[in-house]
Amino acid sequence: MGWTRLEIWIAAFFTLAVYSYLIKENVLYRFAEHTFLALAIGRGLCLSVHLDIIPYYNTHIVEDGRWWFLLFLPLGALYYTRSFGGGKYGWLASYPICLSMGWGLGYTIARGARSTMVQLADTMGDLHVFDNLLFLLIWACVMMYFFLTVGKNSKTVGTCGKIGRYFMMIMFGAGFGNTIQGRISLFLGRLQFLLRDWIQPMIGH
Amino acid sequence: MREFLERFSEINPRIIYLVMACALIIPVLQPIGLPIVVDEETTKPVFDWIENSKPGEIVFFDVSYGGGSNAELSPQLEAWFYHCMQKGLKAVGVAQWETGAMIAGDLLKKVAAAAEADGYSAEYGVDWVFIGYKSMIWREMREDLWKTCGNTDFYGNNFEDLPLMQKVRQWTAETSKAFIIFEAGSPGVGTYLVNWADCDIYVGCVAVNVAGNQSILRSRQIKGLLAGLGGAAQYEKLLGRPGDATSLMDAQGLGHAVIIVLIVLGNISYILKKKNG
Repeated sequence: MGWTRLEIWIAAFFTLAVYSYLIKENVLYRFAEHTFLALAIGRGLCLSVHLDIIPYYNTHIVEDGRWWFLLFLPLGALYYTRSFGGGKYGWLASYPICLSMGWGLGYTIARGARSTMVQLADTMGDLHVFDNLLFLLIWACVMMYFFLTVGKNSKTVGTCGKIGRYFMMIMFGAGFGNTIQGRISLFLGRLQFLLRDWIQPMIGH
Repeated sequence: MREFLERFSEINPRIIYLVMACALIIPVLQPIGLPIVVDEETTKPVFDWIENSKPGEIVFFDVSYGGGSNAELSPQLEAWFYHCMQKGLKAVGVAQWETGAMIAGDLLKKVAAAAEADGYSAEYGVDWVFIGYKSMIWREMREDLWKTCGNTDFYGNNFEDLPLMQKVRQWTAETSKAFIIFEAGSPGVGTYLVNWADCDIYVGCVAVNVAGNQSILRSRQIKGLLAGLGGAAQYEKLLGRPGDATSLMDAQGLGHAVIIVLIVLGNISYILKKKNG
């Protein structure tokens, strides 16, 4: 997709407006933030309606004649009761919430456990392999850190738990390092846009 | 020197931002050419999957990320999708994130045009289809993909008009044994671990998710992992087609070096201040 110069200038302006926050909070940053939110919500809503809701309505309700699906429309609309009448009827929003939560929990318990079980089974690999042995030891130590009831006063559990805590710290450190890497990548993406798409054509290189 | 180190932890953050900006801008303008080493456990299996697939095989992909992860995941998607077109595979894409659909909608067209310019067939509807963001009713998708997606792709085309979709009525292991998800969070790979456990799943993720995804890679629930911008650069190297990721890895490396130096200085400063009470 080719961008026009005007579009590139607008994108560059908003990129710099967002990064201006690094100096201090300012009106340009606020403007960029609100504009982004409004655009994202507006475009997302339109896409949902045109590419998801309308086609789904056509195939599942009109073609299949399952008109009772429409009953979920007023049920979903109960979410809005929190915003009207000073929240007087807000309790009605509990119905769609509890239905969706109930469905979600049931689905997760029924289907989601498999992935965790596979991971658990993996902790019991061939212990003649050093990696597997180390993995099992770390796993056991970390588990012991979370023993808050049985054996919490035991010296063995306490020591192993402390070792487990160090391993967790290493893991959190790795996670933090990865996060920083991700943030740098994010900045690099914008930097590349500013240098290659915005500045480079201006200086003619 | 000692005084500088002691006062280092009180440094104005803006100076750090400036140093970091310089460390990132200079290598972008003047690449150093740091080596890129391909990870045999993470990146290589993803590449081998496409490399060893037969022309005409159908592969699915999912674009589940937004603008915040664009810089890391779009180079991954670009390299992987180009590879598919190069090998003559048929790619069908969905998105669990609306923003992912918006990003990929433009990006895929650009990559397809580049592949065609290089002499590979990348015709929309024949070689690839992008369904885009849909309500992901997974169970129904496995049984009747067309109906679940309202028979419409991201660009508003009816599935009836897309020859490739005639072969893709369902999304099961029979249609496509393997697929990849480019993910930045939730919903992400978890959806597939639960509902498509019978398929070979590959993941391209942002760097921050790498540690979390290692456990599912180790337990073989996923077969390969592209890890952040580095994963994209490694894939580009294997593909022999350097792109955005390769050109940015120098900056990434120098940025990391600056952070390591700052961490060391910050800790020395902390210890010295503690000693002085």
